[in-house]
Amino acid sequence: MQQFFAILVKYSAFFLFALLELLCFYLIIQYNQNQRDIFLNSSNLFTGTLARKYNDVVTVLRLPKVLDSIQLENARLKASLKENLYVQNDSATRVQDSVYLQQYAFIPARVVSNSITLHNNILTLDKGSTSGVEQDMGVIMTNGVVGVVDQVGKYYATVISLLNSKSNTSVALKRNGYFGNLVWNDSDPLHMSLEAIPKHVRVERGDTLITTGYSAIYPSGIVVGTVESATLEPGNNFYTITVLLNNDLANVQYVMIVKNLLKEDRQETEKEGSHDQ
Amino acid sequence: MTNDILRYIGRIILLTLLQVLIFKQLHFPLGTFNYIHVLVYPYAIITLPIRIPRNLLILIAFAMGMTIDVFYNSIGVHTSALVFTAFIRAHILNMLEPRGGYNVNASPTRYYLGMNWFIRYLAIMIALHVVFYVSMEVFTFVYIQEIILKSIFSFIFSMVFILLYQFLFNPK
Repeated sequence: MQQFFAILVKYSAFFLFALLELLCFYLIIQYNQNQRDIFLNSSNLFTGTLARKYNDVVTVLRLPKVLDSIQLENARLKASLKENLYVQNDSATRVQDSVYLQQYAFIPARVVSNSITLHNNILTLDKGSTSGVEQDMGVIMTNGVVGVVDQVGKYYATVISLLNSKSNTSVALKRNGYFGNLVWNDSDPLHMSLEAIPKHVRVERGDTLITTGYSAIYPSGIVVGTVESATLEPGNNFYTITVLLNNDLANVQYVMIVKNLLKEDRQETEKEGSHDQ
Repeated sequence: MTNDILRYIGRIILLTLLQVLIFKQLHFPLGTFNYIHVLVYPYAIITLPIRIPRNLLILIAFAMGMTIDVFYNSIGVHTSALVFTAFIRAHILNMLEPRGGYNVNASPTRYYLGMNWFIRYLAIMIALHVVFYVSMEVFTFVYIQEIILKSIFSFIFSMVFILLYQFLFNPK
């Protein structure tokens, strides 16, 4: 304690100086408008910048969570679209009283592995049977079709990509409803060919192709791509059509698995029909 | 002794009045740049006796600075610079101490220590004071160019007027 006081006395001039300077600073900021503005502005600038930088970092750290929630929200919104509902009309007389029954549900998923260069390309998703994924479900993304679920594990599922020789998707020309098969012939990941469009149909460059919904894998009306070129080989009854895909499968990250809730009923019905023949 | 004290008090009052009544009104427009501050009041603090207690010197500087600030309507700006000058004075005196030390009763003036020594001492003290004062007045180093220009011109003009005062009165 004595030493402390000794130091205090020895450097009293410095302490007095520091004290008075602090007092002066306070007075300057308190009573001089110009200096006060500068002081307040620069401290605001400092704290404001700091807060914004901190916020930026936190936002980035939270992004995965935000993306997941957006995915969920998208799945929910998509499920409530009219196109994905099955119109339940009990009888022809009750036209006005239409009650919608859910036909398609969507399971959001992330692509954990993907290939585009092989002959038979396959994707792996991070959802499996625990999330309700089953074989032969369709997989779509924001602006196009991805493929069909093949193998299903507990937590993962593989998808036969559109870019696979086994893939065979039924699509239709939006303009007139004629449909054909979309197949991949080992070209680049943006182009596929459309087969079985008969030669009497009018096909033009730029025509939109949509899913038909015939196979009950995808909902109908999803835009798949556009016609890039359509030629008629001599002596051939069908067009040779090159399709430019709407989505780039090379960078797909978030997808949705389509669950057709009425699939079983339809399969039963169709099976009985084929027995009768 | 009492005579000496009265003389120093008189000098402080005289320089305060000179500063706020005359040099505050002076403006030397230099193109668009018309902010030259002529600061003569530090002379009173600079030339107080060498053996005066440091704490007393700082307190005197504070009181004098406050008085000037009240007239300038800039509370704290002159005071902080003058308190700084009073604090740094002992270090500068140590630095410039002649061989054989100072006379016990001496003040750091031309009368006791000669012209050469006095001008060196005065220049250092006024430069420190002016730089500190201008920094406090501008208050941000964003305008570093303004601070430097103001400091240089204010230093030159202050020196001229203080030396003028010195030759007119040649105070002890």
